[in-house]
Amino acid sequence: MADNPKFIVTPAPHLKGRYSIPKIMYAVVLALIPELVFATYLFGPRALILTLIAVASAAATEAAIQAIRKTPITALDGSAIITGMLLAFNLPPGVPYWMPVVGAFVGIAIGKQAFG
Amino acid sequence: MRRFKGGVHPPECKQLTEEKPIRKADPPKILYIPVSQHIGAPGKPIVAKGDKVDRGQRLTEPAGFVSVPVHSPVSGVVKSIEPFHHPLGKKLDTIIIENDGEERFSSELTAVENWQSLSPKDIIDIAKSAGLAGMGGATFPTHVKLSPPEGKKIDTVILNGAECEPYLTADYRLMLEFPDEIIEGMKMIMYTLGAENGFVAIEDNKPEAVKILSQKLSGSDITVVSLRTKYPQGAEKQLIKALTGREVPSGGLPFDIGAYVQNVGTAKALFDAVALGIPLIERVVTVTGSIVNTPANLLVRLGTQAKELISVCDGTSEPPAKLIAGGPMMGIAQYTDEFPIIKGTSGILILGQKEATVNEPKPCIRCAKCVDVCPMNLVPTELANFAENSDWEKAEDNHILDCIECGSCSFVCPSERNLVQLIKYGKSEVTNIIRSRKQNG
Repeated sequence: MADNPKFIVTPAPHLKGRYSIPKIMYAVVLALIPELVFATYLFGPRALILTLIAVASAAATEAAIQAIRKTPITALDGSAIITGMLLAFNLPPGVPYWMPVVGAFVGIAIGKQAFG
Repeated sequence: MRRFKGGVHPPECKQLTEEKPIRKADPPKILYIPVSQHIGAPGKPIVAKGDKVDRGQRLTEPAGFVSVPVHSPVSGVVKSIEPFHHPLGKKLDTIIIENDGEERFSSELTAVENWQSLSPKDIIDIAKSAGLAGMGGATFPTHVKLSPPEGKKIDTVILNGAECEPYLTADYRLMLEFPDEIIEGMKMIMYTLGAENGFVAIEDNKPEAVKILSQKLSGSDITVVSLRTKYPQGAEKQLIKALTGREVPSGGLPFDIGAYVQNVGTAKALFDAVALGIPLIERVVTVTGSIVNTPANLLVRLGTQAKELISVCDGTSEPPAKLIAGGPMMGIAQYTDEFPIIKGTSGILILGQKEATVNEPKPCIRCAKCVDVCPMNLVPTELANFAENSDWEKAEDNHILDCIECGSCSFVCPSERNLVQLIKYGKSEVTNIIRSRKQNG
């Protein structure tokens, strides 16, 4: 052993369970996949495109705001993806493509990042 | 299946040491005996620098009722009395003894062959002069527990061999290697309290211990119960609930519902004190971890430094990153490997660089996993918020003081929040507030 060992001191417990935020979030994403598949079958590819736009703009908004605020970027931990998917699922399939972008921006920027 | 609500299933990691028989660690040259090794007032030293002491000789005078003395684990000379590293993470008054290797023994205790001839009062006195304190980790003075207040009748004694902390196997080896002593110790406790019901509680990941104790106790009025392996099965209140269905009321103690729980190690120590006349000067310590070259269950003189035991175990395969006194769930991370073994040190866990993770708390996602696992039916996330915001009134109203600090909430938290740490802090603040409220009438 070294002459002057340095030890990490943290509070108990020193073991960690198997849950983490990404695991929980991606489990929810997985659970939403069948709905997305059925929506695409029912309403056509437009439903899928709307969802992808919503997801992408939610994650991008989160990453941008976290970059501006210089906090750790967690845009891909799954929670922004869920926000995007659920937002798209709540829209009619005929809405214009810019609408989910605005929705995701308001949801993430004002709802999540500003008020938590 | 008898059970309690909540709890978690951490990896057990007991395979490192469970098959290793207890082996004696040679007493070191210098021993460090903190005067405070129990919950309650620390004793006052009755020896001075330069005094010659015998093995078993009393070194301190207990200060009041909730206090026990410490004894010299070796024969030798008192080198000094000064503040020294303590496993609680600070420096406390410590009697430093230089071992002369002669092992002269003297004790105020006398071996009593037929302990049934003693009165309960005698046994309580022996427990106090032998310095007995709960060896499961909480180190509450045993004689205090054996003297319930007037009007409280204890009918059930539970011997705690659950050992629900991962990694630790000290109690398990004790049960395999000293079952008769443990059983005698338990009978002494039942006799002292006049209790009719006796249970030995063991988790079902230790079938060998269940088998041996069941054989020894067949035909007696003590029942061996195999409990589901779940953390914190060995917590006092959870054990009582699982075995008797009775719940300790909020703010109450086990004697309020007629129950008494004692660790198997303490039962053996009581036997040693009463039947052999030996005070509490040694204990079994599990030295373990994946980077320890020869993990072991060691019979150790109290006051031996952790680093001595690590070298008894042939050192580590890589520089240790974290050193824990106790198990991984409730043990205390140490800043030095020089801390001494005390009465409540059931293990030394050494973690390597990869295992010694530092958590990064993130915002609560309100998943309620901590609520699901809390064995005390509390809402850890809220209590932690109250503590963070110093909202002591709400913390008290939401029963923060009922937390048993098992750490199940922190274990499951996906946001890696330091829930139990915040709650412990909150408990100490709320306790202070209640104390000053009482003082001011």
